[in-house]
Amino acid sequence: MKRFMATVAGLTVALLALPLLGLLQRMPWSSLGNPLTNPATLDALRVSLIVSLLATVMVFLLGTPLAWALARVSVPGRRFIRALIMLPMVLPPVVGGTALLFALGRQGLVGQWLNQWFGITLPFTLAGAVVAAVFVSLPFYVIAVEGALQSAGQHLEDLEDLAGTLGATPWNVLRRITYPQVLPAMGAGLALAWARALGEFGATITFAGNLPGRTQTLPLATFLALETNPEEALALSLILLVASLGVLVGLRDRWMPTS
Amino acid sequence: MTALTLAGETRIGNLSFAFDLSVKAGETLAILGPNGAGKTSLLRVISGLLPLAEGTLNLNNQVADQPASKTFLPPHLRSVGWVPQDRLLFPHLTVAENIGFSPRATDALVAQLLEALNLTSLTASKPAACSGGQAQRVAVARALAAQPAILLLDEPSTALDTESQELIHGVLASQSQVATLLVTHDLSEAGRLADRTATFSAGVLKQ
Amino acid sequence: MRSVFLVLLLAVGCGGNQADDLTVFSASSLTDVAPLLLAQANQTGTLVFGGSNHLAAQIADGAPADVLLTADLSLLDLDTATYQTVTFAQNHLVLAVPAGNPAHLTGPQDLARHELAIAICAQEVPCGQATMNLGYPMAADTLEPSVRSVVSRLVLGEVDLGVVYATDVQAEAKIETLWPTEPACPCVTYHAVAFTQQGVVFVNALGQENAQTLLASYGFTQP
Repeated sequence: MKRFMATVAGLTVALLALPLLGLLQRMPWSSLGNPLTNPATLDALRVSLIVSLLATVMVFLLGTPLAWALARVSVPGRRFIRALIMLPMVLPPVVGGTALLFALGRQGLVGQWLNQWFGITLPFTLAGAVVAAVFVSLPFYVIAVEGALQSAGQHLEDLEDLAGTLGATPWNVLRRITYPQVLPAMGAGLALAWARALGEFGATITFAGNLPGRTQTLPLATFLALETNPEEALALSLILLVASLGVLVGLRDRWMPTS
Repeated sequence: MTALTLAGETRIGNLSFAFDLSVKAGETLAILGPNGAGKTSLLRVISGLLPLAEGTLNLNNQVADQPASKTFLPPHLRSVGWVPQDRLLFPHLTVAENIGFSPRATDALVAQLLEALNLTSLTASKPAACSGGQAQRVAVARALAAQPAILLLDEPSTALDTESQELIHGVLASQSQVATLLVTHDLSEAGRLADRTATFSAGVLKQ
Repeated sequence: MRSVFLVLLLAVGCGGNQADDLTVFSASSLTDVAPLLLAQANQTGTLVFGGSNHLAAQIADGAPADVLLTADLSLLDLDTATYQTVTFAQNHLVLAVPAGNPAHLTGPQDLARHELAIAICAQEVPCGQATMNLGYPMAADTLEPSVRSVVSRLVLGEVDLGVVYATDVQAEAKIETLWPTEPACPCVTYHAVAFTQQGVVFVNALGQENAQTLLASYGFTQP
C-alpha cells in the first residue's frame, strides 16, 4: 500500500513540476538581461509591485475586521457569508472581473453613482487594478486569520477576558493579546494574498484594462508578450515564478492555517 | 466600608443562579460548594464578563451592574483582580510583562511582587518555562499588580507545591485593603485565609 | 506556450467524417459567417477557428486542411502560387461609439482627447497593428488583447470610443460607426486558399454573388 501511494505521489509531483521544467528549459538564459531590463518590463514590474502592495494593505485593513467578525460574531447565515467570501478563490477571475465591471464600472450598479456624484471611475485606473487584486486575494488572508482565531478558540477569548479585567480597554486587548496570538497567521495570510495579487490576471484585464505604466501588470505584459515575443514572455514568467516560489518556500508548512 | 455587595440573579441558558453577599474591604469570604453550583458564574458577574439578569452589583460604592437602570460597567473599568483557576497567563509575554500588564501596575509594585513571590529569577522567562506553582504565583502577582479593590481567587493554591502555597498565602494575608472572594474546594485553605464562608446550594448563594 | 486557441465546430447536418467533408481552417473574425458560407455551398465539414498566425503555423506543420480562410496571407509560409487562391472579402477599421453617440463625438481627432475613455487593441495583436497604422494620435485608456474585448467595452458603455472592425459594428446593435462612414483602407483582405481539389470548389464559390451578398450582410466589403 505504502509503495503504491509513494509511486502515485511521485508521479503527481512530476506532473506538477513538468510545466515548470518546460518553462525553465525554454528560458533564454544567456539573453535574459535584455527583456528583464527593457523599460516596458520595468514599467510592468513597477505597476505590479505598486498594485500588489496596495492590495495587500487593503486586504489587511479590510480583511482583519472581517476575519475577526467571522470568527467571533454569530449572525444568522454565517456559513453563507463565509462561502460568499471564499467565492473569489474558486470563481474564474474573468468572471470576477466582469462582476466588478457590472458593479463598479462606469455604467455599473454602484459605479454609475460613483461617477455621477464623485467623478470617480475605477476601470482603466491603477485603483481599479488594486480593487481587482483585492477581490481575488482577500479570501486567502481572511481564511488564514479566521482559522487562527477559530483554532485559538475559547482559550484566546479567556485570555482576552482576563486582560479586560486587568484594566485593558477592548482596543488594547486586541492590540496586546489578540494580535500577537494570530500574528503568524496574519503574516502567512498576507504573504499568500500578496502572491495572489501579484499573479492576478483575469479580473485585472477585465475590470481595469491594460495600459502600460498604469494598469499593465506583469501577468498582463506576459500574456501580450506571448503574441509577439515568447522570449520576453518567458523572462517575465521567471520573475513571477521566483516571487511566488519565494513566498511559498518562505511560508514552508505554515502556508495554510491549522484548524 | 463595604467593597462589594451583590444581590441578584444571572442566567446562562436554562440555568439561573441567585446571589446575595457582601464583602468588606480587607475581608476574605470563602465560597464553598460543589462544581457547577455557580461559582464561576459568580466570579464572571463580579468581573463584568457576565451580566446580571436582575438585581444590583455594587463595587467600591459604585453601581457596577443594575439591569433595571441599564447600568453596566465594562470589565476594564471595574477595580477587580482575577486569578482564574487555569491561570491564563499571556503566553507571548514574559513573567514581568504578565505581572505588569495592567495599566494600573507600577514598576515598583511589579518589582515588589516579583520579590515577594520569589519570581525574580524568572523575570525574563515566558510562562511556558514556569512550573505549575510558579505560574500560579505569576497569576496572583498579576492580579495584585492591578491594585484591585476586589480580588477574585479561583482555587488559588489547589494542588500546589508547599513553597508556592506558603508564598501565595503570605502575600494574600498582607492585602489588608482588599475585599477577597475565595472560591475553593479546600476546607483547610478556606480555614486559613477566610474570615467567613458562604455556601452554594441549588443555585443559590447564602452567607 | 499559449495553448493554441481552437474552436471546433461541426457544421449543420454534418454526420461525421465522411469522404466529401471539408476541413476548413478559418480566421476567428469569420466565426459567425463561415458556417453559413459552408452551408450555402452545399458542403458539410469541420470548421477550425483560430488566429490567422496560429492557423498558418498549423498548416506549415502539416495539419490536414482543405481550405484556409485567412486575414493575412503573408503569414502562410508556403508558395501560394501553387494553390488556388481567391480574394473574397475585405474588412476595415472604424471608430465605434455606443449607440446614440452619447459623448457627441465627431471623428478621429477625438482619439487624442484625454478626458474620454478610449479602448483600442494592443499592438501585440493584429488589430492593434492595424489601429496603429491608422496614424492618428491616440490617448487610449486600455490596450485590449482582442478586438472582441474592445467591442464589449463599448457595449457595456465603459468607454466612449473604440477602434474595431466594420463587421463588429454590423454584428452588435448596441454600437455604431462614427467614422469612416464609407468603406476605406487601410483594411484587412481575406484570402481563401484551397489545398485540395475539393477545396477548390468551395474557394471558387466564395467569389460568387450569393456568397458575396451573405458576406455583405455581415459587414464585409467586396475586395
